[in-house]
Amino acid sequence: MVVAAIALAAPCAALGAAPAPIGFAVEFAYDARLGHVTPMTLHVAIDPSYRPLIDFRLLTPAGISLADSRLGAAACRRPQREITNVMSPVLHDRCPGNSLMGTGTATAGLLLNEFQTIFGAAKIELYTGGTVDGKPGLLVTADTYNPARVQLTYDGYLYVPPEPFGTGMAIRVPRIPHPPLGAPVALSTIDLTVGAPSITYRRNGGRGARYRPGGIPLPAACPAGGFRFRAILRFAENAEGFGVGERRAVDSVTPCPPS
Amino acid sequence: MSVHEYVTLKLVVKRTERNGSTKFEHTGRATGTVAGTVRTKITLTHSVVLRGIVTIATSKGKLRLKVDGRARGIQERSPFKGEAFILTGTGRYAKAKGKGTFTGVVNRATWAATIDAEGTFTY
Repeated sequence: MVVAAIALAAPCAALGAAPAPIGFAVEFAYDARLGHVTPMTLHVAIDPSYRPLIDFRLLTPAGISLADSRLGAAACRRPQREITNVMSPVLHDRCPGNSLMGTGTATAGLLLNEFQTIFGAAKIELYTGGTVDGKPGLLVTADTYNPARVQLTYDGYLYVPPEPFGTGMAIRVPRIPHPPLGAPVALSTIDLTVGAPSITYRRNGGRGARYRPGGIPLPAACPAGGFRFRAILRFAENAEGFGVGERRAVDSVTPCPPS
Repeated sequence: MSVHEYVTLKLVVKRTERNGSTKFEHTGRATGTVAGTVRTKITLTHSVVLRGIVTIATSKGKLRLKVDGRARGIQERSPFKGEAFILTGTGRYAKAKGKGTFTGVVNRATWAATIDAEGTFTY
């Protein structure tokens, strides 16, 4: 059985209207066991009332990290212009197969005007990247298939998070310089599974026998109350996606699987 | 004097702590300005930060260094980079002082590592 916990951002304690909720949950596979590897699935749902997301961070509990897995045997390095332009034609095999860490889907709104938004969907992939600002890099591609067929490329990195978290993962989601129809794009949902059994690599630098790199290693012991993850979302200052605006942090506790 | 070292390391012990950090012990060989056997005790925290102690034993004495580095990738052959400075020495290196920088690559499948280091020291 899949263990899941959907966390909604607590209403703002300060005076004024409560912020719209942000859905956030992390789950392990139904057969996950402490001390073993497991796929890890991340769910994020952002209310359309928010400005476009410009930065997403995932903080993992101590003992759980992307970097401790066998995922990401190779690194995907893309030209800086792809990261800067964000949007490019869909081309497959941009990244080595051995750099794939996770796959999933995302939806986003194309904000045509104050009253009209077109929602579209994309297939997303998370890769190990090259070094980004001196830190271990990540790369996310989103192949949109509705309403337009383009490929979006974002970079990110791992960083040292505040205590008590184990590893920080940041994905930068800058405004698309030349978006479809000239309209800003606002991410609304992410469903990403890291370390799914469907991911296979090839030995000997991608030429040898296939093997499964497995998922994320779980520690042998569980922290009291479960594994606490935190999502930190930074939104643009305005609807056009410019500037740095509101920051929201949401926690989600994933129950401990059996040992 | 300037010092250039090339170090190869093999994993001896890997242990995950309750706080999520991973402790590694390696042994290996250093060649270069100071040649000898090497023992390391390194702790990896947050998947990114490498800190620990490296001991180089030569026929004329030992050097004990503190190292502080950062991972720069998480692929199978992960690059890392950092700084080291001499803590203590014995024998010929009893009064050794010095510091330097290092770059290296660790194989995450075997945790074997190679390191290039350079710096300055006196003894």
